[in-house]
Amino acid sequence: MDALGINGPFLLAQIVNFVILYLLLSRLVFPPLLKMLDERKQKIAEGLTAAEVARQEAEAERAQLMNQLEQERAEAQRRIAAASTQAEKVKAEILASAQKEAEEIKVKAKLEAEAEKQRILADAEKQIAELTMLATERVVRLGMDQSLQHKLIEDFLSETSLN
Amino acid sequence: MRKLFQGKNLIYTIGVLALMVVSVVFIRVPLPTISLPAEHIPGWSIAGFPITNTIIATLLADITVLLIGLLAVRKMKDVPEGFLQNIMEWVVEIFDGMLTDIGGKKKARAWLPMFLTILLFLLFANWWELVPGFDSIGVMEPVEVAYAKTGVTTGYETTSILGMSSLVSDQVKLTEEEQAEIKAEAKHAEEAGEEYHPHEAKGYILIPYFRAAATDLNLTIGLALMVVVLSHIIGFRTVGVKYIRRFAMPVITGMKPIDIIVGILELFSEFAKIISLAFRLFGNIFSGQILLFVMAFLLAFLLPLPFMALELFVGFMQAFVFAILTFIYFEQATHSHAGDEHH
Repeated sequence: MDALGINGPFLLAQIVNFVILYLLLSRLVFPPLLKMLDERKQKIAEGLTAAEVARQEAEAERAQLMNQLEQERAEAQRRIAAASTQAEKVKAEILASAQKEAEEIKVKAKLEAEAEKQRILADAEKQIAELTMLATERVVRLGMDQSLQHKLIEDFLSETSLN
Repeated sequence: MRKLFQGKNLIYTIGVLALMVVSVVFIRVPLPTISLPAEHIPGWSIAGFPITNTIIATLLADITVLLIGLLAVRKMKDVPEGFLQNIMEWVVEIFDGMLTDIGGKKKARAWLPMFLTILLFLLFANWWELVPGFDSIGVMEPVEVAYAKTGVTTGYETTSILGMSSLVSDQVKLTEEEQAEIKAEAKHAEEAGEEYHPHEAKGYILIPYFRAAATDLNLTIGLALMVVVLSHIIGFRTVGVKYIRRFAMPVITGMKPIDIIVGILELFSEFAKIISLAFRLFGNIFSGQILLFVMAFLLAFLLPLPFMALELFVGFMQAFVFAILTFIYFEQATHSHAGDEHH
């Protein structure tokens, strides 16, 4: 034992030394370290849970916003479509009314032209009659009185009616 | 490799090579006197007890561990800033996880302080050995005194370097006549109740102030003994009286005869545990120390470096092995012996 240096008091001293070191370390050093580690672990776990919750909330909010946007877009689409049909309708109406008006103008012009023609014809007829009367008067000035004269003219006119 | 011989590096390379040559030719480190028991430092004692250099190293390791531990937990912050806090948290977390894997959360937390104390204490005790001055600063003792005490016959001559006395590699050997003379004189001094002093010191040996704590069997056997005894206490406290069953107690518990032999084996294995724990640590650190001595003796520069790196690793490994085995012994002690419960 002596050759190996093993010696009771020294051995005991080493054990006591270690026990003191153990007591000091396990009172003063390890508990705060372990506490800190455990607390931090818990904090991180809590933080992660909170982040997950926040992420889910944001996700839901985003989905809701997207939904709303989609609805508004559809609404706008619908309005544009409605306006478009409205415009089509108005266009058709305007076209129709314009056509009608044009037709009316055409008809009116035709009627007027017809009336004018009639009037001119009547005028011409009258002038022809007068001219004929003049001519006839010259021819038959002597032999006929006024009434006969008129009767002849009427006859002539009815025979040569332009109508 | 090519860069080693270019520009500035060339100067360094040549310098290192020159140092090596100088160290081989001019600087010879004496091989320290290797002694298995820790050396008593001459003239130092507390209450009649001599102080050994391993005790000083043990206290140094204590102070280192305590200082690092206390500085790490001083002003602890939730978001760690200090290097010490970070590294201590890292160490605690890693080993907490490891022990939890082995023995579950409850046991890990119960024995983590013991595990970490052993680990850190042995780690620094082993690593202090690598600090310059360890094993090399100390008290000169005349070889005659050393011979009278421990039978050392080889001393060294001394010289003075920068006002400090230092051993040189010139050996001084005590002749047979001188040895006989010293023996007679020492005996005479002992009978007169005095300490032996030689008339004239022929040579000296160095008694270093510091020597790696684990190179003292008192430390390793003390720790091993404590650990194994503690494991039995833990066994009794968790398993109860039935804990004795694993050692041969056929009369009390009425076990089968084969269990007697198993019990005897178990009993022997408990002693084997103490011996293996103690001598594994002692052997590794002691041989590492001698390895470093011999390497420095062969070539004072560069050569010891890789071996120092090796010792750094060995120092950690032995501390870890001791600590983890402690935990495993504690853990095993809490298992009630398989099968006994359900017969």
